[in-house]
Amino acid sequence: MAANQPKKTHLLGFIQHGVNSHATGMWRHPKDKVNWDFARPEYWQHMARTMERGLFDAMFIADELAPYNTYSNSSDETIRWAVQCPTHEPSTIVPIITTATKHLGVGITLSTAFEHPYSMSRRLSSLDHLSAGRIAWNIVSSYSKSEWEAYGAELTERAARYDQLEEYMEVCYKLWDSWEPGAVVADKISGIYADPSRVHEVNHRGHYYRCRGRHFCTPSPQGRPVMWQAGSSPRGRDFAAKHAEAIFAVHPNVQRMRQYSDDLNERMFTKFNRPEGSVKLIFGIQPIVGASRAEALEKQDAIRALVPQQGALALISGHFGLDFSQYKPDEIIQNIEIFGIQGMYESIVHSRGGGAVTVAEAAQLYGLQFSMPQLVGTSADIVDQMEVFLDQGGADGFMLLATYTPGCFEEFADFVVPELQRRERFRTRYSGSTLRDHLLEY
Amino acid sequence: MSSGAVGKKMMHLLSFVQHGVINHAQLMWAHPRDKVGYDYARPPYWQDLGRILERGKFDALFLADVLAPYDVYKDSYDDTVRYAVQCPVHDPVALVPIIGCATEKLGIGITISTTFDTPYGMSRRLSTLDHLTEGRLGWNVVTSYSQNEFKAMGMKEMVPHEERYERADEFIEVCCRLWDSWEDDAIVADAETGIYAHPEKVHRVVHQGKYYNCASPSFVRPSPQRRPVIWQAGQSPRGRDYAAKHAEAVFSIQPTAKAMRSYADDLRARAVSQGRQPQDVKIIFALQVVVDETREAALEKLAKMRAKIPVDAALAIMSGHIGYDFSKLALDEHVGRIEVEGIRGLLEAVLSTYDGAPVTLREAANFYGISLGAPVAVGDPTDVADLMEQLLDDGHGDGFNIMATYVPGCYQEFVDLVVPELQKRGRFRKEYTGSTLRHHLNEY
Repeated sequence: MAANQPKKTHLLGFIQHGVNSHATGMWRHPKDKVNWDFARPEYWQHMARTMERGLFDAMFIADELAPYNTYSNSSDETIRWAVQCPTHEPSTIVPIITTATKHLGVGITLSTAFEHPYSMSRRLSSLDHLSAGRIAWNIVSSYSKSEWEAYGAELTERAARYDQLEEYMEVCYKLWDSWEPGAVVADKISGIYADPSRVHEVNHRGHYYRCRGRHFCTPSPQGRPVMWQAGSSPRGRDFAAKHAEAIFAVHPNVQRMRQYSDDLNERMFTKFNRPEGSVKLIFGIQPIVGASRAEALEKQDAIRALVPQQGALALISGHFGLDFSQYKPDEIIQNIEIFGIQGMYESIVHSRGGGAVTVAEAAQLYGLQFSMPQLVGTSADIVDQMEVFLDQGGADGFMLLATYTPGCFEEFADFVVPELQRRERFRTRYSGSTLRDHLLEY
Repeated sequence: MSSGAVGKKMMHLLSFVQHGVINHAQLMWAHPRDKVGYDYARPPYWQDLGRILERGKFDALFLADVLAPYDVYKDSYDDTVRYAVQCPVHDPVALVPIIGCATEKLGIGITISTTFDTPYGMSRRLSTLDHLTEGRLGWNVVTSYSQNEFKAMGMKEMVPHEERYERADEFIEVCCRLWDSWEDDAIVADAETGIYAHPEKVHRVVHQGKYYNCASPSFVRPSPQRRPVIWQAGQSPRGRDYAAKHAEAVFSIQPTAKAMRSYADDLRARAVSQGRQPQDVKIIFALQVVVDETREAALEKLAKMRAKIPVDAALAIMSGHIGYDFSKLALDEHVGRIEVEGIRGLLEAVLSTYDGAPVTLREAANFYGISLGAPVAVGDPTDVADLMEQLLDDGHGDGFNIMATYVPGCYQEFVDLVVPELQKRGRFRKEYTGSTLRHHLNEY
């Protein structure tokens, strides 16, 4: 990249394979999924083409494994208000997305908690093959009691979680690297398909995992999927700094983004010797664009009005592992002890620049925008803000939190992307073919 | 319910394939007509295959699977890797939506083992796939039987034979409860009030069993079939009981009409003793087909394919399936009744190829390498249809899982040459009458 060129951004569409993505109540919006069924392929083909038209790096599929059941110790409100429920299995739509597109990558959230690394690495290799090299793996290890109860397992120690994850990655890497280049000869005359001396058996006997076998897939186009992670706790940040090629974080303003970027850069370059530019920091934002500022604000009002209070409380209870039905709506949230997702909690607390936030306010805010910055205005307004985050926040790109779909992505592709391009802040065409290419393009 | 010419039984047809460089016949990847211009690891091959089968009005495309490369023969993977003896094999789940999007009626059966999964995870995956295919999913319930899979998945010991079915029983029970957990009218989706579903109609499944626990409702709303069509392939007595109890369709490899009949009669009797009707279970037998315009051309084609298979490749898959290292026997030795942990039924099938007369290892390898011991219908379209009718009537089954040779050509040939003959004889459907897999299998 030439010295005086403005820093370009990466873009991903952040969604879930469910009736609703993250923002609670969006299924109610008159423009949401009009004549689309999220459970059928056509919707995903359309979403994929829309994002590809917008030259997005990828569609990013979030996931949980089971309905939240922390609020009043039940999943009733989760079900009633469709709080990220139902959510269908995420890997199944990946081939639908990639067969409808040529360039768009797909990030997929798959948990290490209930699938052995041998099986996981086969699943990911297969998807990478079928997409000709466009897969990223969002590595999560599952943190909530609802998920562990569903699977019938005992919740493991938080502290050991990263040790176990390290070993999990080690096994996956060994498997993905086990077929040497040139192992496959496919000689029809001799009948020799592959040279066994170049297909190595992995023999791993560790503290948490054993694995003895040969990887069952030939090397996929990317070799390994792009490693994606969302690390917020100190241990999580180290893990991301070490393994991830792209890191997703949620921070409500440029100051917190800057703090995070500086910290991650320190870890990546000083602690783990990652080469410059090899890891992208991607921050979450929720754009609401209008032809005029007034129109955008009207849109925002309409969207806000859709968030059901009970549903939002069920959401934050599930995310933070704390039953908010035990607290009054006007209680100040900073006074409450919380464990759960570290990063998001800090963001909520700082969302007012340190001002007091009540339980009810926190629920409404989080329930809509998960404490990401909500960028409301014209395309120019939105890009203004994005530029600040890029230039001063250390952002390399953004994960776009959905409102009504597919409309919010259609609008972004049609109105905001051209403004980004005009300011030379975004690609004007795809130049590579794999997802790793797109992320390393700039 | 449609039926063919008066008194004639109609057949169901499926294709027996795998997400790998070969399907079940060894060394087909090396055939000059195999996957020309196609890569098995990319969507276009599967989309085209789906369309061919749908053109041929097949009930379904049936995806087999193994979980790790065979390493029993000579206690090594080397021949498996060298000759591509079902290696590589990629994840079959990923193919379901690809095939589903390229077709409208074709069912898609997928083999997934219960051994390394949980009922909750499995039921979510399968419900989702049934949605994405609009009700065309079948699940071939298998339990893992070979050392290499257990080693790959880090388990110190294999699950013993008997226990496998006990576990699978419990596994299916929990899956079914999860599939039923949302009542039909649970979802109201009232945008005005914001109420999406009635929680009292979404039941939390709480199961604390011998092998599995679960405490959650399903995370997936009910799919078009609610449950995938349940398939099974049980050969041992315990396996047959399991199939008789749970399966809507059963798949079996038997080498002769007599062996087929014995199996089918026994399975239906077991189904009846479980309180079901004999025709509630559809019994589908494996069949290899090598067809050409003339009988001579077909025989020559088959001979060339057989000649291409090194005996080590055939023995590698046989050893892997049966769970016995056949390098311990000489090629001219007779294969006896050995104790195996693998698929006992396949050993039985091989041994009964000559109706009880002894089979040498070399002969067994010849059968196994080309068709896993299943019969081979070779000839012109009339020959093939004749044999299929005979096997259908004498074998007491309901249809065939057609094994592959070179692909997709072998299916193109079958659809173009054999299907019209079967339709003419009133033995196969001319049109689909429904859109779900359960419908196709129960159509007749």
